[in-house]
Amino acid sequence: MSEDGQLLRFDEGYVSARIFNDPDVHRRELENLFPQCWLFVAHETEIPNPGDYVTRQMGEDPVIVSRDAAGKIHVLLNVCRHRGRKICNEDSGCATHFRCGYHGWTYDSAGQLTGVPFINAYGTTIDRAQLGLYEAQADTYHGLIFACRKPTESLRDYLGPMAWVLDLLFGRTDGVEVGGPPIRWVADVNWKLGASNFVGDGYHIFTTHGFSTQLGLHALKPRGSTGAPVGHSLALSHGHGASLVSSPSGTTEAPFFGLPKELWPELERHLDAEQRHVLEPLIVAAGNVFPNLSFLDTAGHTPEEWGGPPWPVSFLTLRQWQPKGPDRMEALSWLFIDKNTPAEWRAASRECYERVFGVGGTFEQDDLENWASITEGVGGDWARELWLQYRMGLDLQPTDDWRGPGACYTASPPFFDILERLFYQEWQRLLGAEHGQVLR
Amino acid sequence: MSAIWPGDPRYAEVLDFLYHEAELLDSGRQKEWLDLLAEDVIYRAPLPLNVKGDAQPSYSEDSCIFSENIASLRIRVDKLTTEYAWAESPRSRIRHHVSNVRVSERSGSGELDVISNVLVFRSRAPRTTPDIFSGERRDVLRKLAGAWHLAERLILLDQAVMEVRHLAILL
Ligand code: FES
Ligand SMILES: [Fe+2]
Repeated sequence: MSEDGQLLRFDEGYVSARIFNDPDVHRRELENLFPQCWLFVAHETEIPNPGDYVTRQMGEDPVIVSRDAAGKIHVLLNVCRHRGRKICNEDSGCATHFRCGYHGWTYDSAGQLTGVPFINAYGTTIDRAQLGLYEAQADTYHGLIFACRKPTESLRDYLGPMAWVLDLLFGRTDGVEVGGPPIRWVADVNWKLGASNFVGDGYHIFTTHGFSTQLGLHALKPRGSTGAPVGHSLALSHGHGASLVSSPSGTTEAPFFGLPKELWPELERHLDAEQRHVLEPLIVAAGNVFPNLSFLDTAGHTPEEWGGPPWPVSFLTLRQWQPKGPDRMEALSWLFIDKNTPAEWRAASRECYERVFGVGGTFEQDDLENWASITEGVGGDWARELWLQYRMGLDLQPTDDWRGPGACYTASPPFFDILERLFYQEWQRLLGAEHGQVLR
Repeated sequence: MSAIWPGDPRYAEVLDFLYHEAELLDSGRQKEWLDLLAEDVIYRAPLPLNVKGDAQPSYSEDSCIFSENIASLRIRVDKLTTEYAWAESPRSRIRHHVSNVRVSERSGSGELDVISNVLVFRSRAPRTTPDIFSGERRDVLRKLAGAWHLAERLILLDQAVMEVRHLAILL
């Protein structure tokens, strides 16, 4: 960090090492950044029926994502209005009401306070109608439930052109569903390292995941493809970003991420011609919905090499990086599957995903190791003087031949830090840490 | 399914098998450990869930932390020999503690059902906090060419949300 408390030198591509392990920065993220953002909390298929709920986090606040008796989704602060006990300690379930374990106040699945034991003891000093659980605004896009405490715009406006990318992954067929509950674990990592890696650090792959090349696996170079894959990186609004990697033209063995042919008519119905044109040769789509929801759809693993079937498969995953202090996060990892996918393809997709991702994943373990080592490395005092390098592609200009949304960048080798710079620029804006503003 | 008691020689063989594989896993001899696996081995750790209900702790029916076969286990082990095994460099100190071994015979097949508890201690200097993985193993052992092999391992982990960077070792 420089003398004047600056955290980002956007034009030069420098990020202060301080932001990855600092209690003041962390506190300001919780106070300023997370409350203003539309945060992912669950997918609708996790709570399909009235009364279904899952418990999640917004910033570091625990929330219940519940579907009420009428089917409406509520995102409720999981903290009792009486004396602040956490009301629900299960990951998921189905309930008509939540009863607080301390003094027995009871709330329905819409968050209304319905029961207070010995209510007469309060005389006239209690108004149950005013004492429902705190509720955030909730909205959905392709079944992805987002919530916001202090919205200044609609979810659709917040997503902006990112919606177009989400269409390709979550809106391409008659619907996607979660492959099961998320894998969750807590790691000694600052949450931004996950988000910024997914938004645009293609550079790490060859070192971090180099084992795969050294073992001669096909990862990231699907069977039958020749020539270098083509990367398009999309700078979108609000710090969102996505990278789309396609097979070199004409070598697509597995169009549309190798999705089973049965689903192709659905693609016709749900995507426009341009979106199908972009989707057809894709082998990897990765990105981050600001602030902390990362996604990846990849056909970059050849299932046969891992003891799977001889046909191509891809998997679609969402990963969320939830802060838990300046140097800790909870990682959540979901698998998604297009609803009408045949059982065999589903099973193969799941296996590919589980071998690569999650706490035991052969790829993810090395990302975690790196991010944890950064978090630890910059936790001292001297390291805070470091300006970290996000300087690739400083003068790269967007390409003209892109008909999708956002500004599209491409380069060879396909490495540049534009999307990460934009991520940190938005981060800084929401933190309220503009140039020159001194931290405590 | 009939129980096999400590007096039965097969019980001692099972203990010997479990202790031997623990020794291989704890001393960096994962490649030799692979030789103890049947070619069609199933190695899974279903995702533990934290939900209300039955007295039994529950596990996901679909999601797994590990869902391995012989090919993918070989990749995991081979990975350790590359220069890119970042999550295991330096290598962890690992100690498998195996106990509460219960053995029974699978009717007809000659295979054995082996249930045991496993506590795995993993430390990586310079970190001072070790990772501890606790769980129940449900194994199936099969005799191949005169020696017991692991045909199936289901690991029921005891922690739904683990505080670990990664689980880059075999349980
Ligand atoms: S704290 Fe919830 S009822 Fe008292
Ligand atoms: Fe990675």
